[in-house]
Amino acid sequence: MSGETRLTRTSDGWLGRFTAMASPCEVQLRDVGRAAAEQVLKQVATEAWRVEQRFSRYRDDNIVAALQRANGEWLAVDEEFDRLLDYAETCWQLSDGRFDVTSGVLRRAWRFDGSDRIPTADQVAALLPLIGWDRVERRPGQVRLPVGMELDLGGIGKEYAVDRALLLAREHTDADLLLNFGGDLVADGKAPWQIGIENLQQNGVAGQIPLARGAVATSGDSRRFLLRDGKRYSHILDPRSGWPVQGGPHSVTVAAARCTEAGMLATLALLQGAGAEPFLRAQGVRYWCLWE
Amino acid sequence: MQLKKRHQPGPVSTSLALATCALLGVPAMAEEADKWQVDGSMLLYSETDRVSAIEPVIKASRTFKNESKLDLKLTVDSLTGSSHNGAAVTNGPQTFTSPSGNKVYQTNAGDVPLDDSFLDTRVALSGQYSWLLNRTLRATSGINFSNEYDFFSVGANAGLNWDLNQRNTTLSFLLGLESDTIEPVGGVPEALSLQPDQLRTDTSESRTVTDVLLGWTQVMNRRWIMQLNYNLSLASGYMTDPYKVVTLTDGAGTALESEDFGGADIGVGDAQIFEQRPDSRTRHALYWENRYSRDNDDVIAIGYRFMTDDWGISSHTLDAKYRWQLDRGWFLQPHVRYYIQNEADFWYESLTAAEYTTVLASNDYASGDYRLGKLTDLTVGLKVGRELPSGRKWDARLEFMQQSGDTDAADVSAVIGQVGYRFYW
Amino acid sequence: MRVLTVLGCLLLVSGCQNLGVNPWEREVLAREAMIPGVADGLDDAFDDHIYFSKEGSSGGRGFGGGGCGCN
Repeated sequence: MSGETRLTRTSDGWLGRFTAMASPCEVQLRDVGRAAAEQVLKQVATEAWRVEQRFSRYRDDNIVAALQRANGEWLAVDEEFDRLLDYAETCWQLSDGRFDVTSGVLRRAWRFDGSDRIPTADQVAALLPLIGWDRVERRPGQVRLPVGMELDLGGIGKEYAVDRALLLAREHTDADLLLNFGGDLVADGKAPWQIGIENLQQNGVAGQIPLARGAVATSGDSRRFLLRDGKRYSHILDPRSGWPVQGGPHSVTVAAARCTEAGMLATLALLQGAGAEPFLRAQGVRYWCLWE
Repeated sequence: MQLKKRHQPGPVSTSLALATCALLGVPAMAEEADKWQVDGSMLLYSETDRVSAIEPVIKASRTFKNESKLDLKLTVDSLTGSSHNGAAVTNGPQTFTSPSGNKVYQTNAGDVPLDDSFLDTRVALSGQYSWLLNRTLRATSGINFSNEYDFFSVGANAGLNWDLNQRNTTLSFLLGLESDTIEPVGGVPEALSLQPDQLRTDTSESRTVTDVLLGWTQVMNRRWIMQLNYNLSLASGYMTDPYKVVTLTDGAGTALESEDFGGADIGVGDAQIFEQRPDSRTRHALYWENRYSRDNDDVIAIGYRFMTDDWGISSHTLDAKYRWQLDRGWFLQPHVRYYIQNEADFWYESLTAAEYTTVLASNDYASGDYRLGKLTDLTVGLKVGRELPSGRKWDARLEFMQQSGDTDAADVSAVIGQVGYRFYW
Repeated sequence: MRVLTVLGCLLLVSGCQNLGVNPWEREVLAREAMIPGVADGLDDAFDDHIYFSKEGSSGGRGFGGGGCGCN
């Protein structure tokens, strides 16, 4: 998989752009020449495309698709995929089953297009037997997905790509770096970057925080919902019931050491619904919630 | 007031951070990487009627981006007071010469013979560097110097730490070499000779020590870690204490006279001979430590050591700490340490004339140093400290140690006080 | 040495493979208070030095408190 990258000069360095995972992606660099900036941009973009290609559920030529096709048989998986499954399992445990990479099948019943098409209780209930991380079997280097179940690493993939890309770039440059994949970002520099926080909006003006080292990630989408009889149904679905989580913020932004960690904390907070803020406070991290 | 730390609802951030590091295949890094961690501490040690010491230490550690680690440490140790000169407690007065041989001092009947000219300042400097050879293998190497008025030591070490079994098992190997030079005040006394004669053989002596440490650290479960170490130490060279004597007595508690053995007469009860220890020592130590974290974050730490050597000493040490984790970073830590050893083969409270003749004839070993005699020590203490959110922390501890053995010389009680502070720079 | 042999057998029998935790289960073990040699900071070195100069034993936890003419 490949695509285009574009590099332009900024007041204090370079700005590289490309598109991956259906998002605009940026690389900002300071204290580095054009050739080196070009090289770092290529590495970052290549890594983003690689992660997308390997783990996207929209493709039919990767391990996720192969797992679906395995039709209930054991499938050999590589070390990277195994580590992602380890991570998914940890998140499932830490969230008491609220975060579940097998919950994607609920999309068959729920389409968050702003309409009022709420599925029936029977439609939702029919999908529940296909959900549950505890039904996924694993043994060293192998995984088995029961027939009909789906695996979706979309809740981890983009943030994982950000962290991976930074690690790769760091093998080649000491320059100040900011990687921003559609709002999920990581900064690693001597001087801070000004980071716009969408959820910090006041009077339509985005707030900014300075960030020299660390990551910021956002979960949630205020445009995706269903509305029926004046009741708003959020697109955050609890895989244990198959129904939307009620009373929570539309989106949550979290700052943490690494992007994957920030993104997962934001996702887990959303899954707490009305309990999102107490959950975030207990984590001892900086966070921003957008309620309306 | 709720003193005990409350458990917050479902904090998962630490677990998530660790899981993220595992996912990315990077080691879990401390927040304070790329800064110097500076630990400053001051120890005050004071024995009743004997030695007092004040010992400031500063240690600076830094972990670099490539995960290599550097430790630098400076220790200053200033001692004053009196120490047991090795002689027996007798029922009459005794006469000794000071270490330099220039002065004469006496002790009364029933008193523990103490040499009050004990005054020294030690300065020690050490550096240790460790680095990753690959993801599971870490090498370490270090040097250390120590200097005091009559003693100079230089040492070097090198070793490997090998992580296995998803870092649940760590095997370590460490080799250390040390070279010491001893320049006793007034020269090296002739072993087993009468102190009043002030026979000196040389100005300096030396010894070397080779240490091997094999370590096994094992994560048992989420809350329990243990470490088992085996330490072999081979020392060779001058191990005698040049300032210690053994009293020659009549066997009924009265010190004999030097002149009865053809020595000089410097006063009453002056038949004191310079001690002699073997010129090699092989020591085996086995150390087992367990740390267990309770549900409420309190930590129980139990250490046990068994040591045995070819001087005939064997000892057991039991060390227990309970870290009581309180609210807002405070902690209290009671500490108990129990130590018991038997005496060295050549330990004598005192020698009779006949025993002295035998020892002298075979150039055998003899020491009256209470530290080589039968000994039981008990230390109890309490430490209080606080960890601040910024990573800074301070602590203070107060401990009491009581030594006891077969002689009054072994009855030592000491107070240990210590304050420490950590910051990042 | 007998103690060492007994311990060795004990652990061989119990087997090491059942011991240990997954990388994400280290939040308790990662605490400084749970790391041997680190938990008590400079105290270990102070104690080793004190007891080295007051007793007939040394070593075990690390090398025996050397670099001191006090014993």
